[in-house]
Amino acid sequence: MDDELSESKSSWRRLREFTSARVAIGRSGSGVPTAAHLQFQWDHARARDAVYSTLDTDRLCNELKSIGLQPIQLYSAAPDRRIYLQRPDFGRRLSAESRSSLAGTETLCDVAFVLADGLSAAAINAHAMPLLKSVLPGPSRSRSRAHDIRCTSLHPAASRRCRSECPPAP
Amino acid sequence: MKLHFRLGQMSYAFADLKTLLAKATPLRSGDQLAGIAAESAAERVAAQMCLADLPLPLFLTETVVPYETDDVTRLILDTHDAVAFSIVSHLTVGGFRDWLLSDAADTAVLTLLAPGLTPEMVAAATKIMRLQDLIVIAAKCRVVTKFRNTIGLEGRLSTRIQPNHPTDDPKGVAASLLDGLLYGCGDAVIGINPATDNVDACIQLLEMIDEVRLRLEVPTQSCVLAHVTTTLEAINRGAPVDLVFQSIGGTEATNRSFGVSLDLLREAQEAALSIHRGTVGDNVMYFETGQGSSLSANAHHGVDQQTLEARAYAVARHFKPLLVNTVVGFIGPEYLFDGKQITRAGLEDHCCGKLLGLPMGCDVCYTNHAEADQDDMDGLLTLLGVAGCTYIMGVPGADDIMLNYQSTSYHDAVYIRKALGKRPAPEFEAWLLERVICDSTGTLLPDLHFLPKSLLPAISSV
Repeated sequence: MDDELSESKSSWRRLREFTSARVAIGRSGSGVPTAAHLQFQWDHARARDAVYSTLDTDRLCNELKSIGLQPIQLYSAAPDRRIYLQRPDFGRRLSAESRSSLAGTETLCDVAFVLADGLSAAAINAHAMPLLKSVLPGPSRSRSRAHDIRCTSLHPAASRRCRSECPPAP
Repeated sequence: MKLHFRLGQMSYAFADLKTLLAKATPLRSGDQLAGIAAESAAERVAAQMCLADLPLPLFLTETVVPYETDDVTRLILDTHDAVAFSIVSHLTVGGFRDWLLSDAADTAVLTLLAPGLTPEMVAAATKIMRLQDLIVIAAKCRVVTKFRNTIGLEGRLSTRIQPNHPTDDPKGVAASLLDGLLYGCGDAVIGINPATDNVDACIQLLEMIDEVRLRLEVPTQSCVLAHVTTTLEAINRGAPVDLVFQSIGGTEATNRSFGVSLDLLREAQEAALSIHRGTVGDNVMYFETGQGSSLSANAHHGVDQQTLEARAYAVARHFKPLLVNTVVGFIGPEYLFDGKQITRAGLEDHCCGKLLGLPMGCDVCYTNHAEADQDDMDGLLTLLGVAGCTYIMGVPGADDIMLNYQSTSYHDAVYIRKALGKRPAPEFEAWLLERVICDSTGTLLPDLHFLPKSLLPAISSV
C-alpha cells in the first residue's frame, strides 16, 4: 500500500515535466503546502516590487552616453505610480514641462527609442542597455546623428511621443 | 429628464438617469477614469437617495443608451416581460431593495420575475445595497442549466479547470487538466484560453480534451475560449465542440469592438445545437464579461461600468447559456483599483446576474498591478460562496502562466466546498466517487488510486 502510494505521488509529480504551471504541489488539507505557498508569495512580491520600482535614470543616462547616444529625460503627466495605475491616460501624455522642454528640438528621425518605466522600471533597469546594444549597429554607433537615433528615458510613466517607431509602452 | 434632490440645505441636480446612476455608484476607479463618478461622498449618497425614490417603471421609458442606435437597448426593451414585471411594478428602486430582502421574494417568485427585470433596474437596486444584501438576495436565486451534467442545483458549487499553457502545448495542457481532476475540479467546464486564435491549434486542443474526457469517462464539457468565429469554423470542420464561448459587453459598440453581433451569437448557438453533443441538456453557450470593458473600448456612452456590465447579462440570457462569469479583476486597476473595489464588483455582478436569471459564476482574480492579493481573493471567494455563486475558476496554484494573472486555485475550490459544505455537480460527484478521487462525504482521498491506472497513459498518449 505504501509502495503504491509513493508510486502514485511520484507519478503525480511527473506532471511537472510537461508544464511550468504550479501542478502537483500537494495539499495540506484543503490548503496549499507551506513551501508552495511561500514560493507563490515570493513570486508575487517580486512582481509587486517591480510595479513600484524606480527607473535608474542617472545610471541609464550615463550608460547611454557611454555608447554615444544623447538621451533626453522626460516625464509623463502622471505625477506618481499610484495615479498612473488609475489614470493610464495621464501616462500617455507628457507633462507640460517636458512638452515645452522639447520645443524646438525636433529632428527628423527614422527610429526613436523610448525607455519608459510604466509597469516595471526594474525591467528597463535590467534589460534596456543589453537590448539597445544588441539592436544598435556596432561601429557606427558613434555616428548617432547620422542614424538619428534619439533615446529618451521617461519617469515615472510611459510616453507615446513617436508612435510607430517605439516599442509599445504600458 | 432632470432629477433634483434636496438634503438639508444642500440641493443636487442630476442631468439625466445615466448621470444619476453613475453618481450613485459606490466608488471605483473606472468611473473616475470616465469622469462620471460622484465628486464627493455626500453627492454619492444624495444620488443614492434620489435613485431610491425613482419608480421602477421609469426604467422602461428612460434609456441610458438610446434605443435607436443600440441593439442591446432594443433587445432589453423588446424582450421585456411586462406580466412578470407586474410583480414589482408598483415599487421604487428603494422599495425594490426592501422587497428583494423580504421573505416575499423567495426562490420561486424571483425565478418568475427574472424576465420582467431590466439590467438597469437591478443595477440601480444593487447600487444602494450593502455587501450582505448582495449576498443574501443572490443566495435566494436558483438557476439550473445542463449539458453533460447539471449546474446550479442547491448546495452545489462547480469549478472550471483552466489548464492554460503559454504555447498551447497539448501535453502541458493535459498535465494541468489531470491535476485539476485530482482536486475534484472540472465539473463546470474544461476551458482553455488558447495562446493563439488559429483554428488548427484550437481543433488540436478540442480533440485532446475530448480524448481525455472520453478515456476517463468524465461527465463534463469542454471549451476552447477562442473567438466565436474561430469556434464556428471548428464546428464546420467537424471538431468536437461542446460549448461556444464569447466575451460580451453591454453596448452594441462594445460587442462590435469584440468583433461580434447578436446575429453572430445566434448563428454560433444554432451551430452548436445542431451537432447535439449535450446529453443532459442543451445549454451550449459560455460567456465572460467584466466591468470596464465598454469604457476600455470607448463604447460606454457616458454610462457607469456597473450598469453596462448588467446590460451584458441581457445579451447573455438571450442565448440560454450553460455558464456566465464576470472576470472581475482581470481588466486592471484603472477600472477596479484594489481588493475592496474588486470585492464589491464581484458581488454586484453575481447578484445582478442571478436576478436576471443567469447561471452566474465568477473568476475571482486580480493582476499584479492592482492593489490586491490572495487574501482579497479568499475574502471575495468566501463571500461568493455564501451568496451561492454557481462556479469559480480552477488554475493550478492560482497562477495562470499564459494570461499572467492570478485567479483561484484547485485548492481554493476544495477549501470553499469544504468550508461551506458545497458539492460538485451530481453527475461529476458520482464520477469522483467511482474513480476513488473522493469518498462519499466528498472528502479528497489521499491514496491517489486514480493516478497510476489512468493518469500517465492519458498524458503520454497525448
